[in-house]
Amino acid sequence: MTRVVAKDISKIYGATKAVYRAHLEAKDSEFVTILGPSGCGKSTTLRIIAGLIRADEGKVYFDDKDVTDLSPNMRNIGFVFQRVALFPHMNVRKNIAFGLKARHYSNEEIGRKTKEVLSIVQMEGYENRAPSQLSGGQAQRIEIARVLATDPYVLLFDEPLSNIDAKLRDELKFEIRKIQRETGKTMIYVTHDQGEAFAISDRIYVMSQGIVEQVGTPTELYTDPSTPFVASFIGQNNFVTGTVKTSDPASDTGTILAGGIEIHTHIPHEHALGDKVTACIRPEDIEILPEARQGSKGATRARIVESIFLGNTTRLHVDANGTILKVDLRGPERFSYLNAAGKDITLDLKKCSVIRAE
Amino acid sequence: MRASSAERVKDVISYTYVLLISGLLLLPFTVILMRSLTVTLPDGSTTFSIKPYFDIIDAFWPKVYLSLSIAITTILIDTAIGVPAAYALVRYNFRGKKTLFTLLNGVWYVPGICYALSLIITYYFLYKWFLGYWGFIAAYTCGFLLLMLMTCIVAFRYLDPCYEESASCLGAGRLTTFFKVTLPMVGPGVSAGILLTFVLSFNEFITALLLNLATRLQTAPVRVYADVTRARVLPSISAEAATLQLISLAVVLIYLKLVGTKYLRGVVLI
Repeated sequence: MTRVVAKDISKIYGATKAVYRAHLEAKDSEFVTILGPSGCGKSTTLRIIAGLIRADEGKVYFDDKDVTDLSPNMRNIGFVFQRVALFPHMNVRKNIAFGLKARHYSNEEIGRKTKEVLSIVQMEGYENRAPSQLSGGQAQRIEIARVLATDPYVLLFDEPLSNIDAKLRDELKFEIRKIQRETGKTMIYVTHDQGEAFAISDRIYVMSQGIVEQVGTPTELYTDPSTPFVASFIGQNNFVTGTVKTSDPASDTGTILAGGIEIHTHIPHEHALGDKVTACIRPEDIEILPEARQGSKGATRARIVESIFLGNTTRLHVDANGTILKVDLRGPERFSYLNAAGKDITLDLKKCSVIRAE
Repeated sequence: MRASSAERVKDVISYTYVLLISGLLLLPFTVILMRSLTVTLPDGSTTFSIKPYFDIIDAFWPKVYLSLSIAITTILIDTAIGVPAAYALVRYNFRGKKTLFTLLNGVWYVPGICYALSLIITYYFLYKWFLGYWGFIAAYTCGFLLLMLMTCIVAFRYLDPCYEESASCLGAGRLTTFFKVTLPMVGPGVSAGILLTFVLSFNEFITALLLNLATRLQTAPVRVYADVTRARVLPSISAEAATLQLISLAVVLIYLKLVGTKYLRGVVLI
């Protein structure tokens, strides 16, 4: 159980800032995920924490110990790679024993530890198998067992499930989370898959172009994105840019005038009257109002342009006074709008997050 | 039905082509082998016999041992230098890396005779004490180092660095990682370098011929050449040539059986 801090780390390749002044912290026994698109610097950050890449600036601490200048073999970490890195010339038992031998464990301890970690990943009986005799999921489990055996301070995962088929990926991500809960290890996990990140993380660092855009719990990131990038990267969003028309500082509510529509919503106090802002409205947060509520404050008239049935959702494209919005309908309501193009409806847009316009 | 007969014709053409090529490649060896086994009797008739192979034991086999000794010593030194050098060239970036590669490749474009001559001149003027067995070793070590380097470079490039990184994260130091993870995984590549160095140094002729003038050491291929120029292609001389070919062939077949062709790709032969 270790607290990991990467303090203001930077890695610059020529003119490219792979990571720039990123600050990341994983508390004791916390499951932290670094989420971002390809090339955003998430793997570089993880490799700096592991000591596989040397940062140009910044420090890495395990608890209060500065490990910046230590090589990976001196940091007591476990690293699970994107590609299974089991040594092909060793069987499962020897692969697990490798790290233990490097730490001078006795043969008896190695045998006991091997059994213990294989039981954690539910792979008992596979000791004598060669890596080539394992499926992708089994190999990744053994890889996790191998790093767990060495009792590392922190486990680092670099997109470990990206080469595994979707069904198995779903199972394994929850298994990793379960292992984390059972062992209480601090884990830092890198992925570009937000579903994966949301399912297993205590907190998520969203990165883009080498910088940390936002840190928060999955719920915070989803409901209250603080930058346009996070708003567009996490889930689906309608972006409506306009100006703050009215504002009530007492209740932090107000009106945004955007194109032909008015949005009555919560407006953070840092946005003053006349400020240019963007309202981020999730398609599933837009409500189609029944007739009885069509005159209520904030109701917006719109016409359905297109209706697309997606199975568990019906996606509507609606025209609200010239602004095209996506609306997702779930539950039985989704069947009521299958052939609704041209129909006039009233929308409630108040559930949105407001950020400064770019 | 039509498709099936078309497939058959395609197969026949393919197999004929392969057999033709194999025949062309094996023809010189077959001729030498036949000649070495054909003995002329006192009455002028000919018969098959392995006597020529016994006739060459005293005079030729010491030359074979010398060639084997030179080849094996060359392999040992080239492996000791080539493997770490290839590792460094692949895994580390440094200024002048590309230039170094170009210079190393340059050895291929120097005609063997020029290379041998320059070595002799160098030895005469600088290292006269080198005019002996170790002169051969120095010449062959330099000449065949590139082969070892190239095959090892191919092997190291094939090896995903994640294995070494993984070993390091598991707590292994650099030496442990190199000997327990890296080297076993590039073993087939290193053995390809060993194979090529063996075959080419064991059979090397041009440099050996010129060094023979300077050192008085006669390798097996030079002995075959000297015998041919002195006494034409007698069965015993054919037996010498066939012996050299059989040794090389046996080594190559053992290698291909054990390792296959993967690590020879992109190097010289395949």
